[in-house]
Amino acid sequence: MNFPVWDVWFGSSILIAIVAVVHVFVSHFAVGGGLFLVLTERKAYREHDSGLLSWLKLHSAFFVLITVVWGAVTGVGIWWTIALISPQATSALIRTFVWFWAIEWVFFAIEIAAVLMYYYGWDKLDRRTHLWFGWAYFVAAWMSLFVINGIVDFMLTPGKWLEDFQVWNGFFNPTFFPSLFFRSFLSFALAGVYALITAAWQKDPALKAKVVRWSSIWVLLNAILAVPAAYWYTQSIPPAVWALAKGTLPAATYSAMLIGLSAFLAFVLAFIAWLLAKRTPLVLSLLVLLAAFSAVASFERLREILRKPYIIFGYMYGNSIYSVPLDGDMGLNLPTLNERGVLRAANWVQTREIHEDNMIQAGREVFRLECQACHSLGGYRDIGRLLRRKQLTSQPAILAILGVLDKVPTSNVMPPFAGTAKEEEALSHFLTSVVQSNS
Amino acid sequence: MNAQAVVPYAGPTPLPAAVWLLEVLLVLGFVLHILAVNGVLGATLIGLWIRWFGETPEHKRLSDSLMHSTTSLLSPAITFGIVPLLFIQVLFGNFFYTSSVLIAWPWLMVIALLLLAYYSLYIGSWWKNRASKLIDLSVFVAIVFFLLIAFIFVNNMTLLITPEKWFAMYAADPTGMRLNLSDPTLIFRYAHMLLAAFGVGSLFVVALGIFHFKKEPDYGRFLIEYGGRWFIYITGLAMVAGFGFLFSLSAPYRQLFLGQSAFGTISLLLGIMLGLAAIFAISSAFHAKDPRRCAWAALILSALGVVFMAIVRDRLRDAFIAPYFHAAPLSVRYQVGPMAIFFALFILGLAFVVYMLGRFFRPERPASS
Ligand code: HEC
Repeated sequence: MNFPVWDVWFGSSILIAIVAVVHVFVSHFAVGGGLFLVLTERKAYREHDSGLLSWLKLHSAFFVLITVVWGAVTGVGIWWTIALISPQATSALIRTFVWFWAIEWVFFAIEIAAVLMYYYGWDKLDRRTHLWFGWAYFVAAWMSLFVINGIVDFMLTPGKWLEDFQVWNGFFNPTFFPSLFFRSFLSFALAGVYALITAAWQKDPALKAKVVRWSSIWVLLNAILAVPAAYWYTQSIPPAVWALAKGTLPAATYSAMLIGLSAFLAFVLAFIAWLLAKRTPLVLSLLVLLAAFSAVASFERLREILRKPYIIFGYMYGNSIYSVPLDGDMGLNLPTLNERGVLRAANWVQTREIHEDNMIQAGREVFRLECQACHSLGGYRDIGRLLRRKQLTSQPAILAILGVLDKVPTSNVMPPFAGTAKEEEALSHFLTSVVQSNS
Repeated sequence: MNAQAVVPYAGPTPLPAAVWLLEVLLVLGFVLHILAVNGVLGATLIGLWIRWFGETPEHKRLSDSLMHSTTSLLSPAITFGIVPLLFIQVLFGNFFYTSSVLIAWPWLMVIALLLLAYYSLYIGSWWKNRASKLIDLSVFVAIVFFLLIAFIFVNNMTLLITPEKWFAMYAADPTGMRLNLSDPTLIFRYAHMLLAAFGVGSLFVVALGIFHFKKEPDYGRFLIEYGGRWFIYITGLAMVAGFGFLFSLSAPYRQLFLGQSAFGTISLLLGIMLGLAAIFAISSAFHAKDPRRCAWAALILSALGVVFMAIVRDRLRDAFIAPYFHAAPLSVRYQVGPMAIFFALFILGLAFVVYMLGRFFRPERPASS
């Protein structure tokens, strides 16, 4: 409410999810793929396998197009999107971690320079130097994962930072190491997943068999290694939060199950590819890719759901309201807003006083300020559909549920309603008009 | 609704370093970013131009090497772009986020356009059949997208500094499906930025000339003269547009650069003089026996000119938004450790990249694969 809320008709939360997933799926590949390139190149030299080497050259072109272009641009795209959708939280993250972002940038810059020289160096550099560039790339890419990982995990588990606001406590937060291991293994597995695609393209059967076997082993081995890391990760999340995934919140439980299922499917399909070897069709590789994508997407979704009702856990709700008063928050916290009213505190509203005849209009603005970060009107997590599903179609029933938002559909998914009783009433009238107009 | 009241608060998170330090990094990052962007523009525009209109084999050769270098220029352009993006959010997030939200869809489109332009340049660079029309088409598309991206950026940067328009815009349409087209400075600013970028970008050809001169003096000289001509003409036009921009500003802001603020005036003056000096240097290169010294001078002078123009731009923004800074001071809490690590890594990283470049461009040895 400090910032204008961007009104995305199909739902801003799904927009950020899409951008995040297409980035994450590639950015992890960018890390693991680096290790894959150097180890495969070394293998080719050791075995004097020029076929493997020429496949790797082709694969590295594919790698450059995917990581340097797609990875880098969508990475900027995530910033772009979160800044549009959650400027208040983005501002907090950027200000808190600007030096960490800057450090990450140094590694990113090295990464980009190294991979370009690696690619353009195939016919220019001697073997040792060429491999050296590959290693330089991989180490820089992994370091950039190391740094970003701390900032991303911070949002779910800020840990001791909430007490002392010490940036190191926020960075090395409770899920930092489990998540780092998990993401590393994930990235190595993804390297194999992507390699299966260019592998399936190969015509020469012997070469194809070799590359498919080698790539699927990357998938299989790292998928197995990721399991204990994932378990460690779940154990580092506060138990009350993890309970959501264990059954209390259907959407979270469903995502958790989907991760397991997709990962298992990817594993089995990769195993089939290993068995088929030279007969592996491109479709199979694409199916592995799809299953892996589904696993990554579900992982991102789960993380996002678990963080609810917060965007920065224990600090700021998904709708940019601070959950507790802070120095300098200008009264944009829950208790103060309950007293003062959101329409009065917000910068960007046209209706500040509520009368009998502007209830719906005022309610519309309250909805935009407080609910639209997670709900939409007619799109993703459509509020009309949810109300109808619960058979909340009368104004008193809707008003009643607004009083217990933080307890439905289960505890700790939504922030409590913030604002005065009058504003609550206005919102209930607006929601009633929504339900009744499109039922 | 008064404009003062809609400008968002900076929020409770303190700044991690002093404002001046962050602002220096912002300007420095912007300069590096824009120099690389200039290179991209120069290489694509001149590359395509001579692909279409070039007649001699030298033209053709230059066109091909420009086409091959565009992607490797775009990478640093994007990478350096992250720096000002980071620091503008730290310092002016409350302005930047707001103006971005108001033009959200075009702003988000920048990402899609950039992605498509990038891939188009890769087609232009990697496509095997060098005579293919596909190369022309894709580089053309990339150029159009770059011009659009620049236009959207200029929209946002002008909206960022005019908070008095924000509330009415948002009240009329909160969906972000619009641009900021009504600004009187917009078209001059856009023209000036683009022409200046193209002008400086044509020095990329001059740089190639310096590089080639030792082994192939004729080709090297051709490049220096050809790139230099573009630089002279386009920079001249950029100056005209620049005066247009200056006079499209309302009087109080214009006056800042015409005497009222010593810092602003000197920066602008230095920017212009360095540009003129660069023109002089490059035209001396045309007649010199060894043109490299003068060509180098032109490169350095124009890069310095860009620095001062970036300072002018920074001063202008600060002057515009000064009335909207809230009473709540920006509190500063130095993060000494992370900051020291950053500066150390930055220096090491820079050294490392230089070392890598050295290793990469070392005299060629036979490939061993
Ligand atoms: C932080 C995100 C978030 C915010 C903010 C939010 N909600 Fe929700 N809301 C959810 C989620 C997640 C669900 C569960 C959706 C599901 O079950 O599919 C939900 C469910 C609901 C439901 C259905 C409850 C049930 O028992 O099934 C209602 C009604 C609702 N929200 C109203 C609101 C209103 C009104 C606001 C604004 C005051 C709001 N929400 C703000 C995330 C949010």
